[in-house]
Amino acid sequence: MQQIAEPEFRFAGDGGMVVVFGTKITRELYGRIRGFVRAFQTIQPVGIREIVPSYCSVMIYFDVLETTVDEVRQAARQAFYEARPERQQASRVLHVPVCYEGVMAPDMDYVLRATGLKRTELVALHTASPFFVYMTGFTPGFPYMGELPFSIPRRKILRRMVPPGSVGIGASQTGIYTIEGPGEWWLIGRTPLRIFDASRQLPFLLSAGDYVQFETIDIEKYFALREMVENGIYAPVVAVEEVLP
Amino acid sequence: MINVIRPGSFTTIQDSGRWGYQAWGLPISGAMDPYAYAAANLLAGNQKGAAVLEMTQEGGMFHFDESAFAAIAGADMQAVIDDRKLPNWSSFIIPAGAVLRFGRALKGRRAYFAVQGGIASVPVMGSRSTYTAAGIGGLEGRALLTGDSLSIGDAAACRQPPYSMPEKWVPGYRSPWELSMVLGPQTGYFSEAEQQKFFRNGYIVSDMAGRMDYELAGPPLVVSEHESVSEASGWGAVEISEGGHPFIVTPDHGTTRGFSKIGYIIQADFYKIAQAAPGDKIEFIAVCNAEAVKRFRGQHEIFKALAMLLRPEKHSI
Repeated sequence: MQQIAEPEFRFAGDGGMVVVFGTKITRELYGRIRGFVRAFQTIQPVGIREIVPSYCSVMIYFDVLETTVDEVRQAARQAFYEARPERQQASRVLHVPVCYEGVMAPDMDYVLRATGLKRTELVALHTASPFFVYMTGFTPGFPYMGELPFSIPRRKILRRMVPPGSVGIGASQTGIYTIEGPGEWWLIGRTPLRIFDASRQLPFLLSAGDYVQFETIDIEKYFALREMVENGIYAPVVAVEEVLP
Repeated sequence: MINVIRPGSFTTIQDSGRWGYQAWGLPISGAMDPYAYAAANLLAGNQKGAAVLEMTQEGGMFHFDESAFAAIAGADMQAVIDDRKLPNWSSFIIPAGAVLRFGRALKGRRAYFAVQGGIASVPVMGSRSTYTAAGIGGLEGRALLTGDSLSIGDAAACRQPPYSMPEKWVPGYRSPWELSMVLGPQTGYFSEAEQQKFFRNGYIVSDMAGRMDYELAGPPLVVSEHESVSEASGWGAVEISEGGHPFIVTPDHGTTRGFSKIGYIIQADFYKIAQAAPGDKIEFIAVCNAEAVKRFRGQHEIFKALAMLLRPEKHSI
């Protein structure tokens, strides 16, 4: 059997601990992290406030009035050895229409220059096959997805106001901004879908483990769909497919 | 009902936070000064976690349709009720028809107003805390405006007499603020020299100091290894931006980010962050985890002792 090194435990203040599993974004690591989270939740250690998994690590927030960092570390170690990597049987694929044109894609020219791609090539790359949602985070419902076949450094200067629905790329990841706010990814399009809506019964359209299939739409279609979304009559297209690579 | 005559510069409804959704990117929000928040609720005779008003920089003016038992704590905003001055860190009775008026924060930056029964706004995803960036919680997901009306929750039958918190438990608010930190998770990404620079040089709170983050002005740090993979970033973390500038993570901050974190400010010092104003000086000091836990539990002991003083009959054996 393959020997897997024990995770690294790092302090994150007196009410948090980070369990680091690796340094590279891979599907193998994703499966191990999800397996760990499931095992940790099964143990049900006392005093745990919340668990936040990400690409390569898991943050455990705990209440120091109810538990200690040593107890949390011990439970994490137990979960690590009991964990079985999660294997998905079927995948949920959300179809996300995106307008990749003009004002909806303020950083398109920069990205084309930086990558040497033509616009049609970039859009084809982005819509070719579904992206895997490794994690949700940053802002409510923001899906961190991979992998792009190229990597692009993030913006040096933070954009203070990114419009909701903006589709961005940064490093070899792609994501969808869900609320108006700051961001440092390059914006190549915008979707009329509301990925997060607290007034819906299911506030989040996406969770880790889902897939997103982007589809190109023109600006007229963008506004037509946005009106439907605003009126609450747009039903998101979700397909359940066999295990995707 | 509480009628908002003047909302103040930024007044929101907050409670102990919206926990449980950080894995989906929803930050915890909640009162920024956990010490003053807890003290205000205790003084008002509320349960832990009741919703209060968090006022920033300049407080508001409120008219009460009904009588209420209430308390204030945190920054001194020179509260006045029908032209009678109210002591800070105290509870008091508000007669029906009275007007409660707050001014500018003289000491500190955030004041907490708790009313017995709590502010009864509609909870969103388990919390009444306002998260303005997504427009949820509180009142329509925004800061209060003139003309708003707030409902008061059902008050517990027990009435406590007005009470002032003993002076020894009232924290002093003054710049420079010494913020204790637990090292990690990415302290090792900074060279010894850079770490020394961070702890030796002071920083100044910039104008960008809100519920999402505090930008600090001072010597930029060189990160020898960049954390480009996003991971959880919690309340109190000190992130170093691409340009080398430190940011303190506050309760409305994104739940995950790809910045290296040189350390986390300890929970017992969160109140100092909330009360530090733009222009104030900040000095970081490293402490061990055991010391951080000891100080946090020490604050909890104060609340237990305060609860005992307020309602001895409930706690006596």
